[in-house]
Amino acid sequence: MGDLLRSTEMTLVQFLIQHSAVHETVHEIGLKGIVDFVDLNENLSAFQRPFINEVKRLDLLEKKLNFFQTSLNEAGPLPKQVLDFGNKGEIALENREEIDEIGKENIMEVDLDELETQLEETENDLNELLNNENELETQFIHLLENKSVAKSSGELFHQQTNDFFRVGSNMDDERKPLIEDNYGIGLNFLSGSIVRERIVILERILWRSTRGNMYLKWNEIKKPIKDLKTRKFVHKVAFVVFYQGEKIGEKIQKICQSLGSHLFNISENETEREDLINNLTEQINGLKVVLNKSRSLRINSLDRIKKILPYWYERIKKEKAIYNIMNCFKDDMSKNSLIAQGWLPKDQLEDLKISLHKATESVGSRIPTVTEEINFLNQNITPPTHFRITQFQKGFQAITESYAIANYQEINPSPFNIITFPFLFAVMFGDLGHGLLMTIFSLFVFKKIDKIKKMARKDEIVKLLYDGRFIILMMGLFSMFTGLIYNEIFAVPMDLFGTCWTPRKNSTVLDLKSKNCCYPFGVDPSWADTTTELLNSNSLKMKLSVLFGIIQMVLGIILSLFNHIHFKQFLNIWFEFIPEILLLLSFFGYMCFLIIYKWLTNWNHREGQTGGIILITTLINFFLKPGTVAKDQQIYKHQDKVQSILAIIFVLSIPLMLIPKPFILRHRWKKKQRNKNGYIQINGSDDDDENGKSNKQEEKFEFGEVFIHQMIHTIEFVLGSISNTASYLRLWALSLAHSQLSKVFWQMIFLFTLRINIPGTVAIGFCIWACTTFVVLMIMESLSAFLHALRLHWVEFNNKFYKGEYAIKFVPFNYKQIEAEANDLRD
Amino acid sequence: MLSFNIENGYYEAVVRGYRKSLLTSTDYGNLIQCETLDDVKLHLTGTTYGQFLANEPTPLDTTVIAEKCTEKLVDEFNYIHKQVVDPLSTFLDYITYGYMIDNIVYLISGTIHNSDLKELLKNCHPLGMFEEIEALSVSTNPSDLYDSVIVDLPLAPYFVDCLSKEDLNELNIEIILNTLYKAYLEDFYKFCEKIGGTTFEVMSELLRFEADRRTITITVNSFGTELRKDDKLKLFPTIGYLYPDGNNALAKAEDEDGVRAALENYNQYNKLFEETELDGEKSLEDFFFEMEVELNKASFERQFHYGVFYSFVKLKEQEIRNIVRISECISLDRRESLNQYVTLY
Repeated sequence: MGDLLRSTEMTLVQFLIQHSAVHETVHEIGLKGIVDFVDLNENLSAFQRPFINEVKRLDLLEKKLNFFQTSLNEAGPLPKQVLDFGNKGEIALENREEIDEIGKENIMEVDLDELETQLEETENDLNELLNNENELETQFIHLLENKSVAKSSGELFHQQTNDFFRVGSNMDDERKPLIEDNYGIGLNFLSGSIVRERIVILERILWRSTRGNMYLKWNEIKKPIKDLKTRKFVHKVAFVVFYQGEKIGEKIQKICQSLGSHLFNISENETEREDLINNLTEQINGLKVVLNKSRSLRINSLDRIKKILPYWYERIKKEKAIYNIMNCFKDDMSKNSLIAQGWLPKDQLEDLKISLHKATESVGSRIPTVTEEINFLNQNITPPTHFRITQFQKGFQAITESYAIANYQEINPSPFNIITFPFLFAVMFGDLGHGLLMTIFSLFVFKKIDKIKKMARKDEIVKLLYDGRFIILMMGLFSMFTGLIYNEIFAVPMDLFGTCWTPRKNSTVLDLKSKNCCYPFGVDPSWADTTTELLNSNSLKMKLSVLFGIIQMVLGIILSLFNHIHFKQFLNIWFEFIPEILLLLSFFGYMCFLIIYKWLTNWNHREGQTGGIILITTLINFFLKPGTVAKDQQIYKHQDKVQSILAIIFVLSIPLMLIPKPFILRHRWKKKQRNKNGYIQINGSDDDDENGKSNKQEEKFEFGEVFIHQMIHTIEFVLGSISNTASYLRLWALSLAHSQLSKVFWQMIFLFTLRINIPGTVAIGFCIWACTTFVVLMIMESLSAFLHALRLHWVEFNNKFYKGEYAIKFVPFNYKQIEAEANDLRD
Repeated sequence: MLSFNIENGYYEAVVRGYRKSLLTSTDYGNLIQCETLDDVKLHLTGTTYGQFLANEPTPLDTTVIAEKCTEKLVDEFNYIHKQVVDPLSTFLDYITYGYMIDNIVYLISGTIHNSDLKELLKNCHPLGMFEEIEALSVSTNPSDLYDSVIVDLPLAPYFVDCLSKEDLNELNIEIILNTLYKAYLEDFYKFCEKIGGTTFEVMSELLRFEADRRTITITVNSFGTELRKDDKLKLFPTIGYLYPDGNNALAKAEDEDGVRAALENYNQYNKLFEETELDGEKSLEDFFFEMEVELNKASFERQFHYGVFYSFVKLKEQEIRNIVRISECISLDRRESLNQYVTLY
């Protein structure tokens, strides 16, 4: 498994790159995506870094692109249109054509300065167009408002006359003459328009500040009017204020203006008003044509921008990524070149050299980039963890990594998870029908993979589905397999090979067909309808789950052996691996042996057997009465002797795990101290070969701490071996819950409706059954089984061997993310 | 206290989260190393301010930075303000009244100097905005102001005392400002008293400090004006630690020595003048700011009260003042005064 089992061997490379070639070098490396650069300027804040000016410049360019994007968004979907523009339009068109020619592929190659001027030109052009259009639109809207106000003032004047007659007749005698006097003589008015929500405020303030000496009428303008600042349509009202006296008039005018209303000069005379309206309509129509022209000009230019914009974005983002990487580089002493450091997989050194050569050549630099591997072993640096994985493994690797990223070169649990994870899931989710549904669902995902991939970028839940598609497929397939073993399809048994049992006449008892009859695969379907079905399946599933659990845990401990060998920690083999495996096998392994032995024995043929063998009692007595086995509980010969030996091994392995290791460590440390004090070490590295890592720890050795650490480990393991084994019983519990739930749904919903003899109920029953199956079993149950499988792997399996602390993930510098984003934009 | 979290727990948590996002002394240390405003922007990008300046054209202006920072404060404040229920919502309303007073006075004084209304509105604090604010510019005397606009505002009762003033000149505006503020602080104090509990304990401290600060500031600013003792006394809030003896003594003070003598018996304030004299760089204002920051920080030490909302706004305001001051120093290239900021955390 090589690469899969352990992370790729990494090497730390130091580059000495000529200033002139830096950019190109980083670009070439980015294309390959094989180097994870180390930040050499960690102590510098963002604006003290060497290439910050370039990054700023690119930020500016990106801002321009953002401006294009917002103008595009504002314009909404661009209509396809071919229009005859005036002279001006043609000039603008030519400019665009040029950009088009340079565009696409060339955008990636063109000089940054040139790109900058291109962007600037485009921005200026677009701005000019926008400004022109804005000006025209302002005029246009002003005219429109004027027209609407003129129109509705006419109506208001009409109403007002009627109102005044009515109001006047109701007035008391004192005030009546006053109004009559002024009416038609000193009554002035102002008309204008204001946003609908503010008319109330206007009215209130006017009323207050004139002490009620005014009369305001308003009328809604039907069509919403565009607000140029916010580019949204707002509802406005036209109003007319009547008042007397010049001074109040000034005040009213001031208030109206301060509240943001537009005032228009409108005549009282009806014919003049009509003239005005006609005049305005004419102007509006004229302006409309011009406005449309300028609008289509803008849309045309936006259309062109839209096509190149993703390429521009891609280019700018790539440049920015390059400079951000270059900001991690340090000047060397001579100031002629830059120092960079980066991790890369050891076997890709050649690739790197090719890229570097290519880069220096394309710049024409005579001095090649110098690379040098740094020996990181003694520097207390952790190399990053890197797995070369396929799409298929990705999901499983993700499961492992959400627990912890593997230490460098540590055994990776995910290749084992590929089989064990779906299998443990399937033990809990075993049903041929449900497994089939899940498989079909995952195949559907595979069929629509392109669409789902796109959706996955936006929607997190779809992303989960996309990333986990292979896991789902595997889970579906394994569930079908376990479903066959359990012999259940939607909780109904299948008689595929012919059952071995026949019902006895006039009785509910079943008889074996022939003496040696055996159902060849899975559980005999006849069990399903018996009263002892639950007893049988419980016993089977419980024992199976414990068996699977022990097997998986033993696998975990054996993997820890490989880790110890790989890291040359021989002490750990003797005093960790060996006691651990002995402890687990002497008791729990023995339990598995008993289970299997009991299964394989034909108890009908045993002589002198009165009752059944109870394994629980045997195992309890393993500790309580070591060395003795009750006569009727004896399973095989010499059971008592074997058990007493195993019990001794079990007990002895605990101190073996606890005591020697800390003492040996202390002994080694003391020896080293003596060496140091006695004479200068000539070959000091000798001591390091055992525990390269513990180099630092040994400098400061605290026996108490080490001992407590070991004690915790021991206690955890001994208690863990019991609790973890028990933990695997969840396999049984969930499997039981699943099969019982699906049985209930089948019998209580579907079969129940069959028994009612009303036409149509079956259809309803089927629908309800299908829905509950889908929601409860396919979604909820599968999620819970998934979670439990996850836990079994993270806790019970991983804690046997998987450290995953202080690890760093290998994140090579590449353009993948940027390219994906640009692709999204293009779509 | 038991039921505090039912309605306010989430918002208290949010505001404490906001407090966590305030710039720390390391951030300030980095900010003052900046060479240009672009560097400031770059550095702020790395903090919770994030991309708030991303789409501003370069070269940046300090006013733009101030505006955007305030915008962030307003966003955060409004996020809470729009969700909470009474009495916390009223409490937050009270916080905005202070800004409203500032805006009103600013607008009036701007109008009598014939400044452009739009320009004035742009400079108003967004937390103290109300719908009729534009109409303020029309009025020419206090009663007119009251009749046309202010009568509708929650501030109306505060304004009653100002109605006697004949016209709007600079002195009168100043008097209006202080009268309004006095009434506002006293009312806010009463409101907190009504809420009681920890809120009152915390807020009374903050408001009393605020009252004293105003009292002292008025006294110092009134040197050489024609304000008489009684007039001054009317402007002093009556809730501070200085009330009543200190207020009386301050009203009599005619120069700095008088103020110092008046403050002698007040532990927390008598140091103020000593330190301002020793340390020529810092003004009285700065010391008040520092004291304010300390008090507001202390209010975060207690739980289950509304004071944190008030304190957060004040702290954030101080932070904005800091950023603006640093930016100004950078853009004017006055490096020597760069470290005149008040560290919050």
